[in-house]
Amino acid sequence: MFIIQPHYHAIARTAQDYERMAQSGVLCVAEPAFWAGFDRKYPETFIDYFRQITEFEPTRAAQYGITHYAWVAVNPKEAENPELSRIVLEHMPEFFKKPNVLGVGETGLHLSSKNECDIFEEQVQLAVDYDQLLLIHTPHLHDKLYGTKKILEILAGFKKLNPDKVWIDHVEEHTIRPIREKGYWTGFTLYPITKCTAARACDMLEVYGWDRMLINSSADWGPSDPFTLQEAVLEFRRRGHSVQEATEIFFNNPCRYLGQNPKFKFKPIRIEEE
Amino acid sequence: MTASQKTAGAVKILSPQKVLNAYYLDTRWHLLEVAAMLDRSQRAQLAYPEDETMGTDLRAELLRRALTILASDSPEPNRAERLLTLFTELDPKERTEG
Repeated sequence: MFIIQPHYHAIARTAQDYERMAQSGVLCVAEPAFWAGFDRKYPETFIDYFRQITEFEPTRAAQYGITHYAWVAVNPKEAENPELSRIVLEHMPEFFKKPNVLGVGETGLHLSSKNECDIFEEQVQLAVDYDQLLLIHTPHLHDKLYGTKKILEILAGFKKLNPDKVWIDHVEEHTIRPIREKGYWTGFTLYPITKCTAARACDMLEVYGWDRMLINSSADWGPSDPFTLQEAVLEFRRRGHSVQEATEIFFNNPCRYLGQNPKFKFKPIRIEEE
Repeated sequence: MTASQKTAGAVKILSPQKVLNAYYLDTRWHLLEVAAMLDRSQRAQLAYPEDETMGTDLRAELLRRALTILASDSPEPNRAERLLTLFTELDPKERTEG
């Protein structure tokens, strides 16, 4: 089955991951900018990081027949340094012109501090001003419920923001409902311990349907595994759902969302007759 | 209506028998992990009687309350949501208002 991995931190992963993903049907990954595990001191470090995910990483993926897209943003943890963040934000529009950049991401909140909220708002404004897709990280564990409410509150203040272009990620059972009600795209991130499991993601798909749902395994430098995505495909299929239904979720929905940026070349496919 | 637009009501889900067949062993394993963790913490309490963590740490209290939620009947299938909401109570004082 063909799969799109819409949230994948390739720079933290090995070539073997690319190889095994290619062997298991992954045609495309999209890599948001994120926290490196430590707070960067210099804006230039971000700029080089953006160059890495927009210039170098596509060449590494291409060796395995995988198309690589990217997002640029200041992540919420480093938004705690607003001076540095604002310099990076000034440079982000240069990267919007890159052939593989799809939008602003992942921005969002971590502890929902004032600095985080300010820099998040500025990045939402940037996405609106430059008509970019917007990928939003919701906080971890016990901060998630509060942070998600805060994110929705901030987004409500942007009257020109099109909900079709907004993807709110790392959603769980206690945060999904208000996101669905607002019409944003909903993302489940499959992690071995935190966030969501394949079975719980499939439960939520069955409860809420799969319109505007995006499943990803994130896969970064922490405890994570890009193949949790394939686990979710298997879990979904073992429950009796068809290959076409799985394709809607794991391939066509990413095409529908990411395809709002004309740079994204994949289109939804139909492999079973109605 | 396309497949991607299917509403929840239109989604065919597993029968109770199939759910039990598919998830019994996995759930048994998870419950054993919980039981073993509780045994481990009890042994630790016996070994370190002066350590009052299990009586004072909010995390221990949340785990006890979570077990109560799991053991009680639920009018709606929302136990996962209730547990996640419960665990949200952890460290509210550390949060900085944005």
